[in-house]
Amino acid sequence: MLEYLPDDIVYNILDRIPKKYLLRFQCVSKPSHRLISDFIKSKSRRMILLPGKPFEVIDNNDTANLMVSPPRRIPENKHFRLIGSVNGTVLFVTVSHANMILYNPFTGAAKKVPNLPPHHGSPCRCVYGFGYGTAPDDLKIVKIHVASNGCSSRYYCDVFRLKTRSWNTHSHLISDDMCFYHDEYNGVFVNGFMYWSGYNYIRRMILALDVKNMIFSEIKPCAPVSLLHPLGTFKGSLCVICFQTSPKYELWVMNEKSWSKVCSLTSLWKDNYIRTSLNMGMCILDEGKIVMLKDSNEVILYDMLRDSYKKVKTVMKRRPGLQAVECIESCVSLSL
Amino acid sequence: MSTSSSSSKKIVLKSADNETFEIDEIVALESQAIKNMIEDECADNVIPLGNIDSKTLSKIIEYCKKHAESPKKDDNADIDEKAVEDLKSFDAEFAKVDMPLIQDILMAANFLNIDNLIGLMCRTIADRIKGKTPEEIRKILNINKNDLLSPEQEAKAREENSWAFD
Repeated sequence: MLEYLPDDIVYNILDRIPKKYLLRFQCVSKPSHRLISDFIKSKSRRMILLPGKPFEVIDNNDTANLMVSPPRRIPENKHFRLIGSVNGTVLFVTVSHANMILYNPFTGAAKKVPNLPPHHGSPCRCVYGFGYGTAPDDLKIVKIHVASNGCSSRYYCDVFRLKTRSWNTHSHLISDDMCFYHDEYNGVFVNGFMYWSGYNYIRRMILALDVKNMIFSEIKPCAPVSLLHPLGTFKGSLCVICFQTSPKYELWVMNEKSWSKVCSLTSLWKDNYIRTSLNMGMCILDEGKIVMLKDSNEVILYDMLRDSYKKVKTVMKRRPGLQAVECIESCVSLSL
Repeated sequence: MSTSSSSSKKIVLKSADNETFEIDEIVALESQAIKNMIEDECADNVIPLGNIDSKTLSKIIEYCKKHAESPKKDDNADIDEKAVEDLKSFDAEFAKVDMPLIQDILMAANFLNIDNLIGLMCRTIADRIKGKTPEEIRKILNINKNDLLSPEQEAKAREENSWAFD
């Protein structure tokens, strides 16, 4: 019957129902399924999740708050790396790389990913990615690491498929002549592809993975210049911050394998306050902001389009070098 | 027509099924829509409400009468607690009607722009849905069989949101 009522009335009703019961309501009928998913989408907030213990979130009002429901499964006294977020589910790993945990900051649900069977080499240099090929329910966790035996090194790519709950190891996906020496930054997931920034010898490059077909390829950056980490997305496309030879920073995006410049980031080199945080980028938000750590308890949100920034005091102190993730509130439960 | 509301002034409302209701203007003013009409002097002696039937209209008048009589919260900082309690229990009793009537009242209250009544009806529907299983909600809302999700779709929706069904 709700579908016959005006939208503002229906939303007035749904606003009064706790999320848990909305999700049950979703199963009631076809119209209610459509209605509730639209409603939840319209209500879902974007937030920035900062690493630490407990996690902290920066909400729409640019204020930082400790997470109300820290995941119970997080062991005490360990540092975590946030890897990425897909449909409201966040992946993080312990710094020792021993444990991977999937976490929905909104529902508080957390699940441990089964351990990777032990194999080849030391796990010290790893990069991760989190995303899916075609269907959002076919999530994959990708871990790339290099194992060297003195003179030669080889890349290994471990893939965990949430659907089958199984690990697969591929050792020849990244050919040796690709020479990918990676940054320690997380892969960025965009539209069926994961991207990592790295080097081919001394040349900057971006490694791309077609998640569905598991094919790696190399992408040349927008210009033969330095990339500032980390990679990010801007309005749903892969984006990079470029450093030109003169002191000049620019935001570039990639569409259909070709690059275009979005804007210059004048304040990044003119304003001393943020310039000193340039190498402390934590993540890029899709709406076009860079999250940078300023001091151990201050974060800068630099708006690239407006070329202006905001300072946000955080509750907890955190050390440099950790990444943040952007996360969209969702009620989807963890299918592990 | 005078725009000031004197206590004796009467307004006549006519329902879709041509029944007329004579009420004090002060009662009619609970409806923002009617209030606007009166203020704009476009209300004749009789206000026709072509989309509200007499059963629904009499319920709405019952509600407006009670709320017009009760002291308004913003009138006085010293609110009579007894009056507030009294109004609360009236609202609770008022809402004890079947779903089709709730829907009719809601549509009418929306049309007449009676904020409190819209809120009360929305809260009533929400309260009836809260804490119920999908099967129970189907009964409450009298869902048409043709509108049900296929068993596969339902299983998928339940699995995706399994935490909500614990």
